[in-house]
Amino acid sequence: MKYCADTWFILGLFHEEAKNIAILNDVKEGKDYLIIPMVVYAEATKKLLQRGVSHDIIDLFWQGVEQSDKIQLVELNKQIAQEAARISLSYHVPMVDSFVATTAKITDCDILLASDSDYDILKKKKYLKVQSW
Amino acid sequence: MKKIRKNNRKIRINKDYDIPKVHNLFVKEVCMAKKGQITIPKAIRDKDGLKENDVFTLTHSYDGTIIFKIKKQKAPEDLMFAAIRQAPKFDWRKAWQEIRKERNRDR
Repeated sequence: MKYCADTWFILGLFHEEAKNIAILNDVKEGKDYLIIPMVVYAEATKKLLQRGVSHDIIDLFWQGVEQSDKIQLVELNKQIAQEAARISLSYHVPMVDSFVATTAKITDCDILLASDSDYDILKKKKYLKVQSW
Repeated sequence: MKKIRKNNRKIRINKDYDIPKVHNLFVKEVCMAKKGQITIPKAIRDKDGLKENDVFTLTHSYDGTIIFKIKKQKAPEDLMFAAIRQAPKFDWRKAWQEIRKERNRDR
């Protein structure tokens, strides 16, 4: 299974939520693959710093992400930006949500791991599958 | 598996590795270079996937036996788990709600 992680998934990992940890374990074992959009990297880093997580711990986490061959950080490029703008305008979805959803779509992810009602319209239109718990 | 005699002992040659095999050990003479460097035979490097910068634990016993044991490399994802374990816990659902508010401001 190829997942795309929204910031919700990363924050859940830091709370050691059982399902989030289980997915990361499956990724480690090569059963699943994880995509992390760069906007999630920025948003999660900011929120972790605000919650008192040290730079060293955050760096260690992202170091693991960058070294893993089963996790990919996807940078914002022209194709994603154009599609995100279209999605945001067409479905009235916030820009960051559009970047995450478009990254999931363009990288052929099976499921977007996110808990956000703003994705409901995209689910309805069968643009992508979203999973939360 | 081919058998040869060395010092009146039967030694089996494992063709796959091209290294004489005594019982379950692979034995091959290697020569120490100028600065104490010893080359691990290619067959063993290939078999165990050893590469440059791999780290070994060296054990030297009183009878002159030296054992190099490869230190198991940690998976990159273990760095993530280590970070998660070390991080202080916080109300992550509240943090997520804050992010949602920030995102909705940009609608």
